[in-house]
Amino acid sequence: MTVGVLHDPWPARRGSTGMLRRYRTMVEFKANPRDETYMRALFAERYPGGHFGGLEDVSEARQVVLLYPDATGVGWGPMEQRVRGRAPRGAELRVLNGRRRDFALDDSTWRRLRLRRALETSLAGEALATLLFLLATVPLLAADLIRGRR
Amino acid sequence: MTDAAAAVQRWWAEHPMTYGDVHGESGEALGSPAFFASVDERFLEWNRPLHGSRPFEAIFSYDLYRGARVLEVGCGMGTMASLWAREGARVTAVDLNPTAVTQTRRRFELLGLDGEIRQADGRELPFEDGAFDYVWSWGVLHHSPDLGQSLRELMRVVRPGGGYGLMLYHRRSLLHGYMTRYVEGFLHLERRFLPEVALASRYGDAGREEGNPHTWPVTRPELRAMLAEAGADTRIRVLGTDLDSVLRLMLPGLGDALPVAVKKPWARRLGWSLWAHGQRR
Repeated sequence: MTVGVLHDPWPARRGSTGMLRRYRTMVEFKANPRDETYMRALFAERYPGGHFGGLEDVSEARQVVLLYPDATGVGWGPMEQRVRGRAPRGAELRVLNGRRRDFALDDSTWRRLRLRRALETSLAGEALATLLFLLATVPLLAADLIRGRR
Repeated sequence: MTDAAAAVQRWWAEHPMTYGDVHGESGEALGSPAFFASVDERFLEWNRPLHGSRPFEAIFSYDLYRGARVLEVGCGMGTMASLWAREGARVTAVDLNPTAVTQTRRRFELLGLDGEIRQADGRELPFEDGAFDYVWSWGVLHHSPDLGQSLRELMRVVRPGGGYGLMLYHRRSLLHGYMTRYVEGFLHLERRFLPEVALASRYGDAGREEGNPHTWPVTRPELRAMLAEAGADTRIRVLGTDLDSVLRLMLPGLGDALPVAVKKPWARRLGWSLWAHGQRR
């Protein structure tokens, strides 16, 4: 039996105000999560024999497909822990994401996904790039001035 | 027509460039005056730094070509072709996409402008050698499955000493490096599933949807080499009109917080558009 697990953590991340809201809107824009209708249709197309289920159905599944609305499953950590705890030994765990990618969720992929979720939500890469950007601006400005470009 | 060109033609016919969030959507009925007004409003706003008293005056020498034969390769919804026609040039415009041809004809009709609008492949233009005094193409030929051939063909139809202008997407840009390669390629693992060209096609110019068959931005040296081979004298400028919007996607408020003096050196180097211009030798 193939069970598709739907979970949309994005609505809970909205609704704040000020800078926090700007941050969340920006992260969500880049994550580009799909809505439930889209994910349901995608699952039906890729797994015609599968059905949607909750945690109680996972314990009897031979194959569990996590339906991330975005690419990497931002906000899926707790749900993944519960699914992994419930899935029978030997059950195949897969991901079908909002970019229409279908892949096995083995330990190495899971580690990779968690690293990317952390980078995506902490904006660590962007902060580092901004720092380098600002440091490099001074010599570039000087070079432009020397060449007469203002 | 090759399969690749047919795929490009089909995709753009179904998703014409309307400058909305999604290609093909504008909120107005295709071909209506309101549709053209909304397309122009967005397109001109995107390129505001290039305008003077007339749109795109910083890059187009309208006065030099008044009454002259000019050609646009890839006219889309006809905004630029109509600007040239209003300035008195004898405009011919071509596009591979039949929707673009229909819409540009409709625009000219609505505005009472003269012009010859035809469907044609940029790799095989249906014109004599040296038929035009000025030829331009804006944001189109990076979708050509054979850019080198498209550039040779573009130069063939310019008379010796005639001018050209060419805007292509820039691969060494902040937009490509950050949104396509870092966010989608690395963070979202898309590089595991897509080769570089497919990654650029989906995330460079397809509203992040599947289907755009070919978008491959170029680098400055690549463009210079191809234009030299096609017989053109070339000057290349990076147009960084998009930089603010990319910075806004990196950190909240970053685009607004940085002073113009700090952004300018980056806009000059890492903008999304390369503007090549010059004369045919």
